[in-house]
Amino acid sequence: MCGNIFDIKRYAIHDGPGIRTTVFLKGCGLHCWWCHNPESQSMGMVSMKQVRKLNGREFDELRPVGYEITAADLVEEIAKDYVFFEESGGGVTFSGGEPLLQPTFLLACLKGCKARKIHTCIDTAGVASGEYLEEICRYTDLFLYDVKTANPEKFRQCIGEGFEKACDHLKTIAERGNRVIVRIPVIPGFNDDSKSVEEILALLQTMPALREVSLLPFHRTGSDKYKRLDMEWKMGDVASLKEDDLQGMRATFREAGYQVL
Amino acid sequence: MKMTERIRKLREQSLNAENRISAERALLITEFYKSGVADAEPVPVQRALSFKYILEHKYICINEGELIVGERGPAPKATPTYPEICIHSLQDLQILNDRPKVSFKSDEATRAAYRDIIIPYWKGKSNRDRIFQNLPQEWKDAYDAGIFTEFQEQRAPGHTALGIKMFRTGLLDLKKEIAESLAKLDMLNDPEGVDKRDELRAMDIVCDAMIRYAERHAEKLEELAAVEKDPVRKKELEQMAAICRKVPAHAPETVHEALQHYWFIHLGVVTELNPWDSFNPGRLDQSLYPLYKKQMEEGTTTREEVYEVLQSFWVKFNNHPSPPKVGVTAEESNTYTDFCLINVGGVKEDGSDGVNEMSYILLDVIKEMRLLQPSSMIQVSKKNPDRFIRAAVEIIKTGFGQPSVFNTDALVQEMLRAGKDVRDARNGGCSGCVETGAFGTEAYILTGYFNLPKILELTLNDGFDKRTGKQIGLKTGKATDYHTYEELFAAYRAQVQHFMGIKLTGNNIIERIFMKHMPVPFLSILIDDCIVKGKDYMCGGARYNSSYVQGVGLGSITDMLTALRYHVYDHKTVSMETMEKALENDFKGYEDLQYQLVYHTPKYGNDDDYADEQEVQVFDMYYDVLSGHKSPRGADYRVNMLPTTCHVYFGKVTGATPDGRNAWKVLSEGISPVQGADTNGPTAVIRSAAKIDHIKTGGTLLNQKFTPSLLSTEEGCNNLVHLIRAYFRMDGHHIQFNVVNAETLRDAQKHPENYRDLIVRVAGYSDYFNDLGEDLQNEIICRTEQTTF
Repeated sequence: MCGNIFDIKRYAIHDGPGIRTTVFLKGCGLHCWWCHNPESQSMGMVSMKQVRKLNGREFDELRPVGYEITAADLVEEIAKDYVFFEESGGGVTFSGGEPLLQPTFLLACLKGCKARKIHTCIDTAGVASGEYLEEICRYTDLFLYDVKTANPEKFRQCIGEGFEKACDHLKTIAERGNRVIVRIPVIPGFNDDSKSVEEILALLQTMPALREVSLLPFHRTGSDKYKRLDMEWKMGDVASLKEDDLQGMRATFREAGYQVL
Repeated sequence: MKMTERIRKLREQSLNAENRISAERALLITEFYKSGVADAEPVPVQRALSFKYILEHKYICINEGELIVGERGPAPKATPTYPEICIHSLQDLQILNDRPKVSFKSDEATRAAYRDIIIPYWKGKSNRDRIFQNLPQEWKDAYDAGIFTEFQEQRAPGHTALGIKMFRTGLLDLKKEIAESLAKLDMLNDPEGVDKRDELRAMDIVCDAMIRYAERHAEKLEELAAVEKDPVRKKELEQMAAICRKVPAHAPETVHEALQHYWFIHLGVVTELNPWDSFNPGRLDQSLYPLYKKQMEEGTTTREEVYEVLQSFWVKFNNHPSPPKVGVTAEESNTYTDFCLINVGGVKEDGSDGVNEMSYILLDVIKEMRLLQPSSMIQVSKKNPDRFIRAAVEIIKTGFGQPSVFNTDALVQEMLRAGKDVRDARNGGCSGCVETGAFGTEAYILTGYFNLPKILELTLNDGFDKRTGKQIGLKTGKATDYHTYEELFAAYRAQVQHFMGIKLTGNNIIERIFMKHMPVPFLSILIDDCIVKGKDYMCGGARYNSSYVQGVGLGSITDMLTALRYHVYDHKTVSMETMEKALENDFKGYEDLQYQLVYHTPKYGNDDDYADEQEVQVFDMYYDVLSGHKSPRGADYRVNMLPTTCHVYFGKVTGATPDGRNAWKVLSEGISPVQGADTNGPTAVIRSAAKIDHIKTGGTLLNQKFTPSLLSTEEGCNNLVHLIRAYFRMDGHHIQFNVVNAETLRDAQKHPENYRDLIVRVAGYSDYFNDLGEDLQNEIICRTEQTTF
């Protein structure tokens, strides 16, 4: 069982509890303007320019992004940090890209990890067919579920197709009792106005099982990658947000009874 | 707890005092030997009487407002010299005075004393003269080539710490033990009987000398009390005088007494000689806690009082820079730090959790004082609570490099493996940088650094050193003569063995010189079983004796061998001829190859088995080559992996290397990866570092640099605790964290004036960033900054 991934990051401490290894699966059906992993969007291999310095001289190279790996090898790689997971209550997080786009590979990896008692987490926007979702849920301890907007029109414009799927899958996962943390990337000019926030809140309230929300401030760290990939950075010169900028929105969700992480 | 006003003043005074040379000790010892009064006495008695003479005549310095008294020199940071060990020339004094970093000022009077009295007497007679007179030419050639350094050429063997027992013992008790030992001597049948008698006589003399020295402080304090106008201070001075009349003659019974007791002992050790790693109170929380507990129960002290006296004690260490070093010794240990490492935490003698209220008090004091000296560390056993590590992380995250973190369970295993009794092992810890020792019972002497990368350079050049133009190694062949990686490694091993032979021969010659000419009766009474055996610390009197040769550049040598194995042998992407030429030209004209070597070659520190195989191979080989040898005093040779600042010096003598490093640039330090080579985060570094068997060492040093952002949240701090626990489960010996961002450091380089208090972790110790050479500053900036992902 092979899958396409483009990176493995160890000591990832912002993708779920404890010390984690985050695996980035390749391919995503969306094209969010603010995406900080644009190299992940196509399922196939892409090349990214890389300039590195040595003794003041610059070396250009085209770095291929993405490679095939078997589920067994990947699990082996993940398990290397087992001691750290055990000490910290951490584990693995499958991110992307959209991990649900490679459901059989993802499932094989999840099963492999669970067989080794590794805590599993999926970071998803839910835009996928939903194949094997039920089984995937059985081997997943935590979902970090991205909700970027509750407005179907806006979703279509700035993100892509699949709004209804994303909502359906979130509902399915929440209702079957999996732990879900809703992650809202706060993007200036896109979803940081009170109307957008209210819409998201209203959507979440249709799924009473959802209790935890986390807000992620927009940051520009990915902008450089667009140049290196010859892609357009549509966010222009919108500045990164600071934690403080989210205080109001945090309060809104807290008042609505959500645990804001 | 906040500093009181007087502690703040004492701390300021210490920070602002100028490091300068004091000729006082050198003059006193010269007067003593010139007088000829002890000419007819055996060497240990001569040394004891010279010690007594110094302590009788030394100026008694009492600083305003302090609670712990006694200075090594006549004033804070006035630093004594040791002409019997190393006689500085006028030119040395000039260099020490003028050098931009780690300078020691000398005034006209000091230079005149040197010119007219000290140099004329000691020139040609110092221990350093004896050492260089006796060492063979091949040793000197290897030394000049930078294959190894020699710890004892300007300083004396020390490397030990006071055991808990000595916090419960007075010198009068020791005098009794000495008398008993003398009474038991079998002068008729013991061939060493006379030597033992001489040594024990010397021990008895130094006890009296030290008690008298404490009394001189009492007298001065009484004089000061008599004229003191402030009734509070007057009472304090009287109490301090009473303490100096009690300790170190009698065992201390309060925290204040215990600290003053230790401080007199510390002064004795560093006045007798200039031991490397000054001296160390060791397990301070364990030693103080019972006294503290009793006092609190009786209501005879308060937490405020205890804090203040501890803070005053802390200042004393900072008043004492390490004695001046010149030449190679200054390069390998270029710092004012005198390597006193306070141990906090760990286990008790019975193996149970040793963390107590005093452990937390000491952490508070460390945090509040924020001083370069004393250095501090926490011992972490699986039995200690996370809360304890978490409290230490609160200090670590403030970014002054202290405390460093040690694995008690590994230390105990290391000591058991080396044949120590389990109680002695549990009473031990680490001193200096990361050196494992049984406190109060072991002489674990470091003898010099060993340049592992440089020897590969020689292996690729048929044993010829291009920098010094000498054939110093074995003729094992040229780079192109090695057709397989195995052949290359076998030749490398043979060269390491060759140079280790030269180093150990030199060590043994030097050790004999110290045994014969430089006994240390005062240090000997403090370390078991010197009194019982009637044997000096230098001569194997300690219960346990170890000698170390510290391997330097594990990361660099691993990457060098890996690059050759990967490109030349396994993948044949580069021919050895090309590699040779590239190295010869320092990669000029071979920049693309250098790029491949730096960026597209497996590197140590990434949990990549391909690279880490060479790490384990080199480590095991180094262990095999050194183990099994014995020194003249009966010590076992053992390995440890730490550099102080020697990786900078060793880099300066090592040409371009196959890992893509340019000639004369810094090498990797401790067991840390080559600076910037670790790109998979701290868990990968830790996994790589844990692949060698730390239990076979007497210490390894792993440096990790974190940006403050990584520790800005509760969760981030907790994860650091988990990271430490995980490394220690893998038997990691030590880990330390530099929490500072590169931008800050770059700015500090540009505007040193704004960063005078910036302390960074160097290698096993912290130092003021401004006191580091530019190359070392650059190296610290480029050491991987681990960031969040």
